[in-house]
Amino acid sequence: MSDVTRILEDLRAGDATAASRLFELTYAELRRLAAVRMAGESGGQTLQATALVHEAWLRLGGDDPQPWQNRAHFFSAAAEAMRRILVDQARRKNAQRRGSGTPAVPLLDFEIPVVATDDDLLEVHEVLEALNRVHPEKAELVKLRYFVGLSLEQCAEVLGCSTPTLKRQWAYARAWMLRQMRGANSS
Amino acid sequence: MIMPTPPSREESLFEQCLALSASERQALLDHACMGQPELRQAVEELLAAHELDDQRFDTAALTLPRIGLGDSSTEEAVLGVAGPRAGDWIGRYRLLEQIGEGGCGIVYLAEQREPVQRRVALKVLKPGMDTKSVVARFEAERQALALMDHPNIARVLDGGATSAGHPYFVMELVRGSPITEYCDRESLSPKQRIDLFIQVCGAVQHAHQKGIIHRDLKPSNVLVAVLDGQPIPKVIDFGIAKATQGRLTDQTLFTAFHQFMGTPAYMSPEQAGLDGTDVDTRSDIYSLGVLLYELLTGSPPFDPKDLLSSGFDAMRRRIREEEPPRPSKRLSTLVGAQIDRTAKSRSLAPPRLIRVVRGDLDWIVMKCLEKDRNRRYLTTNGLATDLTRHLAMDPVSARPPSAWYLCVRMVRRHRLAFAAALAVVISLILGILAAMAQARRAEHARAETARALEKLERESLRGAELFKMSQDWRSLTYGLAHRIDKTTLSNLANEFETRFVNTSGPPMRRLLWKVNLAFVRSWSGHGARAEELLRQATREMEREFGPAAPDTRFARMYLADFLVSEARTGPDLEALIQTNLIASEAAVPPDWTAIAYARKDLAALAKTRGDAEAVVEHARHFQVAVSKAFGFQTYGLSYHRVVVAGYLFDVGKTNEAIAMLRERLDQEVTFGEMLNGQLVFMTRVVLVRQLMRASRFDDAESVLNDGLVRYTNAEPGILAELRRERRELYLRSGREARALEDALSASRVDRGTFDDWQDATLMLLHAGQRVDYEKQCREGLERFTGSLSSVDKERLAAVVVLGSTNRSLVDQAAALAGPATRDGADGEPSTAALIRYRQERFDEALTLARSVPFENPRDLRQVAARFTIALAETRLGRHEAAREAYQAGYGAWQKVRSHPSDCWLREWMAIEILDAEARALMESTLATESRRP
Repeated sequence: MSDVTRILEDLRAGDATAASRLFELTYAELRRLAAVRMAGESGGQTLQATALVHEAWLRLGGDDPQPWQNRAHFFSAAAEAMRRILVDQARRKNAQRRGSGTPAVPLLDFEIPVVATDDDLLEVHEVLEALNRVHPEKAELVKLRYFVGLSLEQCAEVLGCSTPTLKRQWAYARAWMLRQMRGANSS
Repeated sequence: MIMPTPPSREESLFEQCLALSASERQALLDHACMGQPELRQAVEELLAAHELDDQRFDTAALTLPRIGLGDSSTEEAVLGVAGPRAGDWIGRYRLLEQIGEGGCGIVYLAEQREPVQRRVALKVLKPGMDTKSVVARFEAERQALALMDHPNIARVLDGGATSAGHPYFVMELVRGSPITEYCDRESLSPKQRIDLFIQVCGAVQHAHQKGIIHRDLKPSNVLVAVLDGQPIPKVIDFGIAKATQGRLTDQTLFTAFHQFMGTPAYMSPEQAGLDGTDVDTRSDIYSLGVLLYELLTGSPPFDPKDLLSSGFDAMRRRIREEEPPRPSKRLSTLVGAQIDRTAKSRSLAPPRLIRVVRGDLDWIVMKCLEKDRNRRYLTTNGLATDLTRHLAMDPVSARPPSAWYLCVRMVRRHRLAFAAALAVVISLILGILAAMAQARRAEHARAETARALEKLERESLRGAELFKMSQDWRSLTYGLAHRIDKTTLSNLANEFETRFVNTSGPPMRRLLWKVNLAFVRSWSGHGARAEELLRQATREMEREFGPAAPDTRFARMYLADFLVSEARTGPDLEALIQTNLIASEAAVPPDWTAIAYARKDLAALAKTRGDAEAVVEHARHFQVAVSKAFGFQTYGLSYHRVVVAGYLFDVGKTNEAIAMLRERLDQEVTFGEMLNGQLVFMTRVVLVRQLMRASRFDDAESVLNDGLVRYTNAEPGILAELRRERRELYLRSGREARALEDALSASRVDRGTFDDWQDATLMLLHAGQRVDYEKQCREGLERFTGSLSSVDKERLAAVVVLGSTNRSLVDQAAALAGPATRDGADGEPSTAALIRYRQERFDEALTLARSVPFENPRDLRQVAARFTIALAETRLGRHEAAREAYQAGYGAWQKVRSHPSDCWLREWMAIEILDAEARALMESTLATESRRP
């Protein structure tokens, strides 16, 4: 049995540490995969979060025939891991740019090309934290879409909801976050 | 998982408003937010935000053009029960005709219309697979596959699922036949075959550099197409084995054999293992070795029919355990029509074919087929280089073992002494147990074991040092591991496990027991149990303290290190190491020991991939971590420094490695010398070898002398090795007299070893001191005869007959050499030939010497045989034949001399001695004859 399958079973059995183990495993794998990909691509232009996460799943030995719902934990961990990776990167670049006292020791010795700007990323990260405190399940949805790039339909499969429900939740979450950002910027 | 919360007022109002027009919204909010202006403002702000044209959330942070599979929705044809037919469409491809059918699927000639019009090969896999996962795996590999661009690789262009749910792959069209068929049909000579094969290596190397492992290399996947009269090998099906096999469970493995592979004959031992997932580039190198074997001998090392008929488990066992015969041996066991046919299709006469294959090619093929993949070629490039060298008559790397390998072997030889040093504390118990085990009184030994354990327990508990006890016990068993049989060792471990490990207690104690027990289990040959224990320990610690706690890191560190030491690779392992590295770096203060271990293990994995730069990088971090680590781990870390330096050597980073070892030695003074004397010694020898190779003789000498001074009290074997290195150094730097002096003084004292004796004797002869040489021979025959292994006996005989004409000495040596050498039957006829010559049985000597092939003049035994022929022919009065043989030998010898390599100078001396003797004899005979009237 692969590590990831074992952890998923532990999770199902109610093992409290399993979630963090799953996160660690996924985080390490994604980081590694991103590094491999970035090393392999000359222009660094083809890195797709979904593919990355998918590959991580396969490489970690996830038993593939499992339906997506059973992989919810994994996707959740992957979304969190992607977020951590990208946010760390943005923070570091930010810190270096601003010449703050943060040591320039790279967490990743490569850079993942990101569509969003670093400031955007950090802002989204912060507002997502806020959303997570009030509406954790919507934060989960945002993470899946924003950091893993899943479509609403895929999210519906992962989260076990209907697509229309998620569509409504998405509209609310998006508006909520934008409202929050405006508020933060105007105050 | 997060439980959904019921929608808040705000949320439900927002949602309701979305479905309404502006005026309807106002009405709804007027009504619903009566007396709650804050709620109303919140909802209005939400609605305003909703209308914003802010696309920040509409694209994922990391989103780039989607690379899709062949779009199955455009599929116009349905894969019916009977399979697709000509004229059907699959995705964008129209099938033209069926061109092949194999175990795994049907291959069609197909036409692609857009974006370009071209003909392709389209392979539809047979039912019985999980199409979704095949396609998913293919997609995961797709980006990497797209990067491959090599004239000898048929590109995989596309893949997907047919609407009937069968996976399909689209490939560049290759019209050709399997390489083995092509070579036989065209009666290609071994050289021509090797030329083609080298091109195949190039293709595989290219793929490996792009991170793609083929996993299913076999003749039917290596096609030869003829273009403008030139044969072009093309490797097909890259990436497909990975997609179709995925995780090899027992069941899929079984299915795989029957469905896809057709034959397991090309499968590497690790692929045939229970956990077939752990496959890396070296598995391809194994398969290439099988292919080369078949190209040379006409059949793969294991007969496919035999394998399949022996049953599933037996088959796997054979692949993993059975040593196949060398190619030349296989050829020589073929009979009658078989060998005639095989030789004819290689355009050679049977004896000539066997001679061509014997030697280098045997070595090269067998190096690919090593069960332990660490011993195979690291890269396909290495294999190709050796083959090119062989064709150019240069020495091959497969043959002389690398300095590193020699050193490791040496350490294995002295492991006993090393173990004893570690187990000083408990030598008494050790003695009793070893004696018991030796007497094979197993029952008694068991009882003694129990008693010894009790004693150990008492002793250690007195100090209330559980940790120490656990360590001591491990040391004890480490000592025992090399002295007693595995059963007794297992019993000991069982005893220990029931007594301590399964008891309750503080987690740290349980952890230590488990870790130490794991070591012992692995020494007694139970690697799987060891792994289980370490995994268990890691899980327990994780559960108890969390994933990043010190004890967890400790357990995980040992787990990862154990897996690496078992030569495992793969993403699971790398993730495990990375996890620990991250946790250890994040700790305050950083856990330098765990960081060092992680870096070392990552360097090992990088070495396996052949990624030299990554090895250097990890080695650098490793060094930093070691310099900051402290405490009881220092000892282990200092050992690992030598190991990491070895990785650097292995990937060709010699300067970095030397610098690392130097630093290690400089710090030596601060370490407990006695305990790790063996390791320090090993460091020294590796360093000396590398310095010599770089012609830095003075540096090498100072390192050696320093060592000899330091280790005056060390075990005799260690000192002998150092002395021997020093003699080698003297000879290489042209100080022969000094070397002789050294060898003589060493061999005259009681502690002089057989090696010392050999060096001294040869050097005496080489220096022309015949009287002393014969005296030394007599002493040697007396002193060592009883105690040597058969190989060393043969060496002793060789040293004696090399220079001695004294008949009684020669006969004694001949008797010692044993029947194998006397008859020259065991591939070492050069010594046998010389024995016969000394016994004046010239015709027999000639027959034996001529049976030594003269294919690779760099093989000094072949040169020796030529000189022996010259000697014997001269004595028979056939001067022309003598001159011819001598000149052949001399020419080869000059070539070797001009390219000093790693070969022992001792062999050089032997050749120089024979050369001088042959020349002198020929000249004096000619002079005598010319004086005759």
